[in-house]
Amino acid sequence: MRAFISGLLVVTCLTGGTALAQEKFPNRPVTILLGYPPGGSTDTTARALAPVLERIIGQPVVIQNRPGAAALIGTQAVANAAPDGYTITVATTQLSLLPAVDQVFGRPPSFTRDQFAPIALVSADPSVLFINASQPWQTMQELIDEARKRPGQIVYASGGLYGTTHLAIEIVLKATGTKMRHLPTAGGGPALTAVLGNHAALLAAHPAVGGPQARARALRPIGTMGSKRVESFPDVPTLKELGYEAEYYQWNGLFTQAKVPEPIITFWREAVARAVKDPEFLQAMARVGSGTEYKDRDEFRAWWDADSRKTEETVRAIGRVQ
Amino acid sequence: MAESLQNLLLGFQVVLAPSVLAYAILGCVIGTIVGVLPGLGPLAGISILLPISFGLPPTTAIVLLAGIYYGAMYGGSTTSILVRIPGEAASVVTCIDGYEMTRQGRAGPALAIAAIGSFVAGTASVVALMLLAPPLARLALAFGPPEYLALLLMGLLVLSYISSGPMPKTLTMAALGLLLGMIGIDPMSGYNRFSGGIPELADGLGVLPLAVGLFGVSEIMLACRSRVLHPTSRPRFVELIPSREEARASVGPIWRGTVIGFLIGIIPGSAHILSSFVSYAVERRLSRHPERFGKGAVEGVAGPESANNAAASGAFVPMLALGVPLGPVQAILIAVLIVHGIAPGPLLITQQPQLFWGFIASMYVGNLVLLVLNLPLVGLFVWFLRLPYSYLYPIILICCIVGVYTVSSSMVDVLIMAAAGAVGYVLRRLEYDVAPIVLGFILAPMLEMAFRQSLAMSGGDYAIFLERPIAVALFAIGAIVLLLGVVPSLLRKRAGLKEAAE
Repeated sequence: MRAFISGLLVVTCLTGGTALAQEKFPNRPVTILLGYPPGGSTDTTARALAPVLERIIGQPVVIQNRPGAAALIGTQAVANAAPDGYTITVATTQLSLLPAVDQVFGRPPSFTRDQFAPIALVSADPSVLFINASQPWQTMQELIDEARKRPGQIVYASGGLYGTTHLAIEIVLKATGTKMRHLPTAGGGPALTAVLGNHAALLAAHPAVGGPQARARALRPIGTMGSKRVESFPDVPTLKELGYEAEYYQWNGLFTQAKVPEPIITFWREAVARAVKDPEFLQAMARVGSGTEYKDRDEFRAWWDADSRKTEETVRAIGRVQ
Repeated sequence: MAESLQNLLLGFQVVLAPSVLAYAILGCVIGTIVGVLPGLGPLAGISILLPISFGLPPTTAIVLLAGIYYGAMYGGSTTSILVRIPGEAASVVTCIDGYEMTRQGRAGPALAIAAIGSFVAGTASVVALMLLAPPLARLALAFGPPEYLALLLMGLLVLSYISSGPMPKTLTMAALGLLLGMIGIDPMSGYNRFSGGIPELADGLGVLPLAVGLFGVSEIMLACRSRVLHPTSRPRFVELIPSREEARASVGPIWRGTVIGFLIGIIPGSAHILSSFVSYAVERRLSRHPERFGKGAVEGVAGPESANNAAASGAFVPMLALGVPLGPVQAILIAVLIVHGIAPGPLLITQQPQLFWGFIASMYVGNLVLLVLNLPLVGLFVWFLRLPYSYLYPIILICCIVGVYTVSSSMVDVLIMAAAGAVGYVLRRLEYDVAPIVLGFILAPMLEMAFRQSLAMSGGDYAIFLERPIAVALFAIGAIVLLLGVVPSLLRKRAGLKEAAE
């Protein structure tokens, strides 16, 4: 009897709570929980969004970084957070990448892609291929020809195994039917250093990362991986123009848990739709050299599905190394 | 040169503006606190305060965060010397002789020498940074994986000088350290190694939880064991000042530590921790009384503490001259610049002179602030030693737990520290020295990565190690150092045999 009463109490509290929440969401501070450390692109995007969202939703927006184990720890924390819409995240390929890597190693996944519900895409910048300026190749085609002549001899650097900088080049290699050697490093900075020191010939990087080096003529951009050219490099052709189907973006989107009720997701979609038009947000993004690319939930979901398929295929194609 | 001076004046104009100066001092104060708190290193300190800096103008933000960074390098030695707990990773070696000095009632001089050495090293490195950044940065880029491997192998040679115990015991401990360093995701294949399915272990054991446990927690446990309570020290003022002999003995180590630290600091990778170990080994090798090391040799404090501060400055060379981060701290500072719309790259010095020169000037100011801040603190810190250990040790233990936990809000780190403390206790009861464990632990992942990266570059061809001039030169120097170390003892043995035969 006692158990029944307390059970009843719990049920009443729960339903009462939900009713209240439906009345007014949000009625307390909201957390943007990130899997990456401060200063990375998910972090700068979240920090560009937070003050604008605060104004729109009328509640404080707190940013929490939980980095570790290639973003697995923080992403898992988001997946396991209460599905009440008070925990959202800015995420990128890791949502499909980490489960795919788990699969390659035959481990049970730490989380799955369908634990997350997309809210909106806020940015997507094509990866750009940069080569060390002292390398002889002037165009993408020259590099591809050389790679065909010497398969598996040219060295490319990445910021880490299965990371975005690794996948981007693997996609190029598959599209062009070439092979190169992979030099994994401990992050985007070390990968850039390796190419600047000519220990590796090329890397795929965010346009803002290689931009200053390209302007100082230390690196040469030779191809971009978007559907259209990159604004900061108007003279550099896309791989698509050259006839290679190799599209790859470094993107950031907002997500929450899949179990969050539809009205709350709608609330977030509307808030983000307003935030991405805000001049304060646009300025903050322009400062970090990140383009903005807005897609609402439905369009984003289709885009994300396609990106995930590409990610999973590429990870499987790389498979286990050695 | 004249141009540099003019630019430096511009820099001082930037820094001596009250708003910037206030943040420079604030950064130094926070850095000292971060350094003093065991377990909380400069990286954690900067990460925690990073979001605040986004709201500041870029020069102010960089000045604040850089102040935290080298402030922590100053402060890191304090707990190493007083209670044998490394305040940050680069101060691990200081535990060895610094704490022995404290036990002999020379805590004051040890702290003062560490502060003065840090000041000399910090200031001299800024001069080098100011005058030589662009050419030095190009030299840094020449260090690829094979060169790095050659350098790290020389680091292995250092191992034999780091402990005063018998060689088999030292090497056993080094091997244990190398094995512990293998835990975590293998960066070359993605496999999780020895992490037992615990996600927090995927990035490996942290060097700070490990070092704080092995050195600090074990010391507290040993102290609890002894029935007789250590007499608390009540030093008179004169005893806080280094004696004439101590001061004279420190001059050489400070300068050598500065040069070693600065050069190691420039090289890509997180080798700056190594700089203090290398300096310690060099001093021991050069000393006419190597047997004093490990028993409170002032050179064992002066050299490493200068080296880690010089390395902290050296690491800024490639960041400022080329816009590439060497270590995680520089990566964060670069992110700060990017957030403020400044693209760090090779053109930074010419396009943002007020930032570069302001930064340089802030380091002169910061080093002075830290010296002024730290010398009077020596008296205060030594005063803490008057507290009975039954009060002091619980407080220290709490600080350790809080510091280690704060870094990534992880209980796993606290448990690693506790386990390392227990292991350290057993090992020290068996008279094994724990310092080689830490050095092995730091070296293992770097050695492995450099070796396998080299082979990834060459497609598995070992000839890569013989094709690169810098690498070959470093291998040769290593071989010579090894021979110089081994031959005398062999000759001695032979002479001994001869004598015995006669």
